[in-house]
Amino acid sequence: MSSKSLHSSQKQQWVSPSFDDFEFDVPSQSSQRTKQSTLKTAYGKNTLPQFLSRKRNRNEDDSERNRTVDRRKQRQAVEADIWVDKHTPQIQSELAVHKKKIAEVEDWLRLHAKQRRHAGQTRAPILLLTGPAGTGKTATVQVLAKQLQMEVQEWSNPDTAAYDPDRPMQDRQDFNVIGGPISQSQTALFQDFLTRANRYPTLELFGGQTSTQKLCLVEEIPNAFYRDPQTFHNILRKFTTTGRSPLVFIISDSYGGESSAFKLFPKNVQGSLGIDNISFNPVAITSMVKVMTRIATTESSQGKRRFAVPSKATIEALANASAGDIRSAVNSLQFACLKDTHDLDKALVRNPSKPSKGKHAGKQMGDKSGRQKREKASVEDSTLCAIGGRDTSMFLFRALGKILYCKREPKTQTDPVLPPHLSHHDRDRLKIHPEDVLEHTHMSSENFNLYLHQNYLDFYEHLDDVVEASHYFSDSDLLTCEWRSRSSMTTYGASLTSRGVIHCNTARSRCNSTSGGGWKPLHKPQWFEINRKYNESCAGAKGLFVGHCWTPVELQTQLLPYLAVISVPLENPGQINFLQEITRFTSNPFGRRRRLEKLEEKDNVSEDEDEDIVSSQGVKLAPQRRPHITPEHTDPLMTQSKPEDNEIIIEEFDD
Amino acid sequence: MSLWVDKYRPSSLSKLDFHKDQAANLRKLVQGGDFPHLLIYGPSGAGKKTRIMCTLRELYGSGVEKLRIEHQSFTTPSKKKIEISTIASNYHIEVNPSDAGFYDRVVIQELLKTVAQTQQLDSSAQKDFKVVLLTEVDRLTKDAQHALRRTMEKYSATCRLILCTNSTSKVIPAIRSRCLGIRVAAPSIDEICQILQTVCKKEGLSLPAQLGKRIAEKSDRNLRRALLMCEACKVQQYPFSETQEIPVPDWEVFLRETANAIVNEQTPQRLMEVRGQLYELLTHCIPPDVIMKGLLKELISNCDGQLKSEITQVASFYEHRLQLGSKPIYHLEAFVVKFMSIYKRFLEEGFDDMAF
Repeated sequence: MSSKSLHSSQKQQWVSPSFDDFEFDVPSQSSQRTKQSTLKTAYGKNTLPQFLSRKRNRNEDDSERNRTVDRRKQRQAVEADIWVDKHTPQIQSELAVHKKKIAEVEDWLRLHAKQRRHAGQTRAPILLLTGPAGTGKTATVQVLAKQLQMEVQEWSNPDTAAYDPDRPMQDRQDFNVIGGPISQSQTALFQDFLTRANRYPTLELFGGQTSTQKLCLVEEIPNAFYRDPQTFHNILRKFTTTGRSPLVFIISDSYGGESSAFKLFPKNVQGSLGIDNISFNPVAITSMVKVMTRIATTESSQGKRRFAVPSKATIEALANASAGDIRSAVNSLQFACLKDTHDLDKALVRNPSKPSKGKHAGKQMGDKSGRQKREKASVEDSTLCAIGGRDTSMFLFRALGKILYCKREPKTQTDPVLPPHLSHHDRDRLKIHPEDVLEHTHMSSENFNLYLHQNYLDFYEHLDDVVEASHYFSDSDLLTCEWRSRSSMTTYGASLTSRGVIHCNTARSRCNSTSGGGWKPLHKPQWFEINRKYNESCAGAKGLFVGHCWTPVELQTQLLPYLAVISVPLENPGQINFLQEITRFTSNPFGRRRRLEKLEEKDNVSEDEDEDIVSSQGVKLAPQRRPHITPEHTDPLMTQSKPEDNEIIIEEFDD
Repeated sequence: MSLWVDKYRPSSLSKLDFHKDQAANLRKLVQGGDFPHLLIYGPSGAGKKTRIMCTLRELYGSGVEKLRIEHQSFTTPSKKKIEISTIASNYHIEVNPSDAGFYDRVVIQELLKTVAQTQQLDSSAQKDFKVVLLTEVDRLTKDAQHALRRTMEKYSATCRLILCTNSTSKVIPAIRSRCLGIRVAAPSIDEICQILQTVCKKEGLSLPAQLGKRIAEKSDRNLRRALLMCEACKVQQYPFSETQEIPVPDWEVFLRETANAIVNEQTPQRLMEVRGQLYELLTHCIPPDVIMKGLLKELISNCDGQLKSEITQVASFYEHRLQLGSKPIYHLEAFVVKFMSIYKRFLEEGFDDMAF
């Protein structure tokens, strides 16, 4: 993006910017400055990337190029008024990202840029940057590429070519007989981009230097690949063998639905292709405040209009409300600095304790607890969330951690005291609000209960606490048993269990109780698999032993176990296999635990599992879910029950 | 495949080995030419199904033994297809409606309608009605049971129902009052011994009386189980010895181990292990209510008399919830941990008493 601002005369052409209404006294000297920059932009920036993008097979011909140039100009005029674009970091020190992260990415770039030159490497390097939106992933890459003098070639999804009646007929070689434009599939275009962009250097005509190292950047991934990740992997595989320059993917984390990073880059593919993964954390409040203060001061002194720099408290509050998203923070800063929103200060005065509390705690209790304070402030601070605050989402891992570790605050004088006969229910005040946590997980309540159920036992020390907690799980299941009231009761279900799990854990009833601490691995619930297997086996039993008019219970508990013992000639091999699978228990039940699937820090839950919950009506199973069982039924149902002890430990729990 | 259970199943009312009075009554009922809807109930392995088939044979002759398996599909109002397999002869049709899950109402209505609307083709056949045999009626939803009540009245001219269930407690009174209830009690241990001897004689084996008695005792007066055990014994060791071990199903052994694990240690960690074992049982097709019942039986045998009533009460509480709820593991686990707590408290009190 161009760092210079453009004059407002241009922006009438396209759309009027949303902040137009707030504009007052435009300084006259800026008009000359921006005119120059317009010229510069028109030549220096727009034409070159445009031509480059042709090289990237955007499938646009020359006449269309002019059109897009116009469009770009217009867009730039609008964007230049947005501070986020105007103050895009240019040098490393301007980045709000943590220094270690920058260093990590820089090391990677340096290492692989060098290795390329030596040409001693067998595979083209691929880097995957993940992290929440607005944590400076793209900015970091851009800044570092500039610093390392690498040329960034960015893939952008091709627009669908629009029909242009003004174009002369002879230009339309790309029209086939039927009259439609020949459109190449996105997949093919993407593949072309990868092979060409790193094979041929930019022509010197356009300022390309043959010596510069190139860097391919992919932020948008063609939609087709989400449906068919296999093709994507094949293209990547091809790239690693033929490619020359480093390839960087940037993918923002998503909280709901299926995570694209995990779908497109499953662990095994990452391993086999040697993809490095660097994950960005939300931007720290301090660095965010630093950047915001800098932007605010520059703007107030050099910007088009003058305004008072917002107080430090205001900036801190805005940073808090943005939940680590610097883009949204700067946007809300800009909004806050407009004249009509000066009464923002009043909102701050009304509850002045919020930001300062975080500061104090940070000083007193060390950095870590200070950060937690601020997190809490960001959750509770609904007044500021109203001003450009971001809706904070939470990964399941973190949400479970919040419930299971249930951090508490020290008691204050004002807290009500329980009467003596209830004193065993006395707990310190919670730092979290369970319903808030639930709301931020985007997960069905039954599903969340299963996750809690799978993991809560590890956090309990006393058996009597477990009695209480398990009773709450039972209660919650009961709440949703009636289908008529289920939709309204489900939310209560999760609330009941999470509060139950928190309350019952007497070992964690005090703010300073440390018992049972330490990081514990979290696991995915086994119930889905167990339930599926149970239903499949029941259906299998029925399907295979259909001739015997036995009721299912008799069949499963009496006939089958004895059939396995009695050597009666069975009708088909499927029955034999099935019998062996169903009736054989591993001889040593104690030395073995079913393999638990570890819950990753950023795992999302796919919706299939939700379906399972709906259809799991206890013993009753919907018939259409039954697998079709043929006599050659050899599906090893029990393979997972082999003794396996490889329980994996999560390295770190970052609260 | 012919297990002894199938091979030596009596095929006519006169050949039945026990409850002979009842068999005589059934015969009289059938000879009268018509009979009301029947509700046959009794414990598992008592011979309900055998008696039903004998009655049908008495009614229609050997034609009922020509069975064919049919797959019928029904469409629910919500356009969902349900496939269900039925076993039918020319005169009767047998179906287990609970296979259809909570769509059993549709199955019952549609099935009865199709059966009842077609008259018997063969005019020379003795009876002008068909028989619909419904098994596991106690597992029908309330919806389906009410639908059944209505259809029973509507099509009583062309079809008779025989309902087969373990217990009438889950059958709504409206249906119970429309049927002639026939209770088939479990055979006594002596009767089982007698039958085991006859079967072994037919097989050409000699069964020591002592072993026969032990098998009968171990079978919980379940004739099917006794025969299966006996056959398993034969596979294990023949000629029989009086003291040979009687094989029990693997899952029962496993369940006993689980119960022992619960009795031996009462900690959250152990609960986690027990949960794994419960999951193991579930994946081996053991229904949750059977697990609950089995666990209770094993646990009770392990604990002191004064705890028994308390634990049984807890078990019934959670078993009820298990029936209502959708995820049995919550309730199974809640029961296990409750037992652990009660048992632990009991042990600690015992220690305190010893100390004084």
